Amino acid sequence: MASEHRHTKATRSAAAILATCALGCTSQSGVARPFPLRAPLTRDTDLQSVDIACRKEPTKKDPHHVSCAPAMYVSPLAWDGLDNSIFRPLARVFAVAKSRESLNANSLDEVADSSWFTNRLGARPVSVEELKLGACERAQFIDGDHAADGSWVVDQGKEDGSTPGFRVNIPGKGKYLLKADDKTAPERTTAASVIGAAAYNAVGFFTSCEQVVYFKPSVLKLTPGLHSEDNSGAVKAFDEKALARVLASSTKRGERVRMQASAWLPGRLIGPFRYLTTRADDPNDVIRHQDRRELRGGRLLAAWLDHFDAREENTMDVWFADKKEQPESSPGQVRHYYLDTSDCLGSEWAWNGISRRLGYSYLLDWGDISLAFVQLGIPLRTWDRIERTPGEERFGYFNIRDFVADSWKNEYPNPAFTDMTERDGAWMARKLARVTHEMVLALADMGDFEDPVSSAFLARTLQGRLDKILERYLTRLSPVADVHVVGTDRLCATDLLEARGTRVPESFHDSARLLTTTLALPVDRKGKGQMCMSLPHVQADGGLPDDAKERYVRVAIGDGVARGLLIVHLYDLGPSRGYRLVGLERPEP
Amino acid sequence: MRGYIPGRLVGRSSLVATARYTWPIWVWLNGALEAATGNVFGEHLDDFKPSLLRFSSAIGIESIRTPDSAIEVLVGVGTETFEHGGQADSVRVLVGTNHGF
Repeated sequence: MASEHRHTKATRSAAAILATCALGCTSQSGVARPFPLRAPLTRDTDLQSVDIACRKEPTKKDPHHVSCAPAMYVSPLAWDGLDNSIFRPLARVFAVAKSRESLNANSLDEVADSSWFTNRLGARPVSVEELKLGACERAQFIDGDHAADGSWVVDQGKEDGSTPGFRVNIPGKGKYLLKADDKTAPERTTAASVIGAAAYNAVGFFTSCEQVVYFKPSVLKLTPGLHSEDNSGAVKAFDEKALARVLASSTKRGERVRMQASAWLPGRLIGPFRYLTTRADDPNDVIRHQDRRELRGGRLLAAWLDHFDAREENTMDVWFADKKEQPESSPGQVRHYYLDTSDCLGSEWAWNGISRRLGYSYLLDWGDISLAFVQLGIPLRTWDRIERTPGEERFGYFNIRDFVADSWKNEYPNPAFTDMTERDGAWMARKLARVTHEMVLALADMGDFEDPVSSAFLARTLQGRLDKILERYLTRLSPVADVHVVGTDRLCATDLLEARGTRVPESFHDSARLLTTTLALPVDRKGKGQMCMSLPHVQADGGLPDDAKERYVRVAIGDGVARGLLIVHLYDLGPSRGYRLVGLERPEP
Repeated sequence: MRGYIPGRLVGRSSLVATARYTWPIWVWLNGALEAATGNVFGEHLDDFKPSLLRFSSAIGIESIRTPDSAIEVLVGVGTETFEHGGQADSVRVLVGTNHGF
């Protein structure tokens, strides 16, 4: 056993040295420095306001209406599914498409804060309290127990989508969309909305403020003459009967009705964002959405939560005009939101055959259909053998055992998810590695299940699925993160595999080298994944310009567990000013 | 015998042995594989001889929900009688609904 261990270690070291030499040779052959001496982009310019050309947009109320906001985009229910299930796969057959890396990763292999994403987990400590707050401000929480009768004014019905509901206007609070639970899975739908939104928000996405609310039906006051549209497009009266129907379908706790409350987004809603191309009328939107790392990496977040319904209809673009009192005015900026995660955590379709496939195969999966045909049905596939967990049927087929992180599939192909590369996945895994067990317990607790056994099941399942994601995506490319220079010459970082407890400390066999000299650097591992090394100075103070090529240094770091190395790019500004970190690369092994 | 178009084999009696295998390939679709041997003969199988049997095979997909009138897409091949060498002499592409035998 011991000799096998030594052999493995020796093999790994040899592999690391080979990789090191390869990179060193490249450096010595005079390849241009990939990273200039400047700080990484941490704030995208798309957070700056832009002007939109005004245009006539007549409405029934105002035939001379002029809008200076981006136009409303309508996503038809069937079109997105058809396009991504049939037409795009067909087009890809004939396309000369090559896989390429996302276009908005910065020099530190991260993404900048932008109108799509705000770095939270992994960029700074996120407390359990902040996680539970989600996208809500404290003032946005509503208290149904102490609401006066008739104080919540129902001003809009909602009979489309998977669950019915209605909008209420609460004095002093604003507007909220209240949605019922799925009758077949009590409490799961509402819990999924809150948990999903909190998870997306903690990672860094923009979401709506979601909460589970309990209230007596008497707090509602229906506005007469309301109408709503169902999934078929038929317009129906939303009257007392319709309201009673929604309330009857909701979960109850005593006399109180349990519903999900989504705070109405501020700004002007301009329709969903697409997972491909750009929005033509937003000058800030210059990177094709399928090439955005956060949208691609979102696949792992969706996989963790089994958010198979991550499609464009569950997103929203919002125009924030600089002049808030004129929401359709320009200049302003678009912000991109994830909405409605109620189909997370084991949602099912009306057809069991479909439900069993969710997360494992697309609704119309040409590859799986062809494979099943050729294999004559002999090998059993996941959906042939998957079972609901006895006693926890409300969570459908949401489990740990059958979950495979890198083969998880959305309901139908999502262009950004389809284009996710190893680097995109590893980026999201580094974010998810910061989700502690305490945070997982808090997420499960947010579901507010009446039965604590369900909360425990959910926490266990979330933890197990998260561990599988990290095991897969932190062991191929380098899991070393949080790289920084301490003082003038100490290079320190965190090995997320150890910090996370994915591997015991004895598993790691660190190696670090200066690539231009192949000089080995002793690595000081301090526990909890903290690792540091001293960098010898290669240049003196003064003399050469700061960005002289002679000051450029690359350090390769391996941990002996992940197959890939971390390549750290620095400039040595001399003993007085020290090293300046300018770039990180995680090449594939 | 799916390897022959309807009306290709006509007689007063018939004898067919069929082996059929179906397997799920999608929620609403099965794969189907069929092999059959048989032929038509005179009244009461008058002139039956094993060497007068033909072989037919077909493979394709069919809808699951309606076994009596499944929507099918099949490709079938039928042969001459074994007495005449049993060589393929019929190819059938079926797109539509099979109703009955």
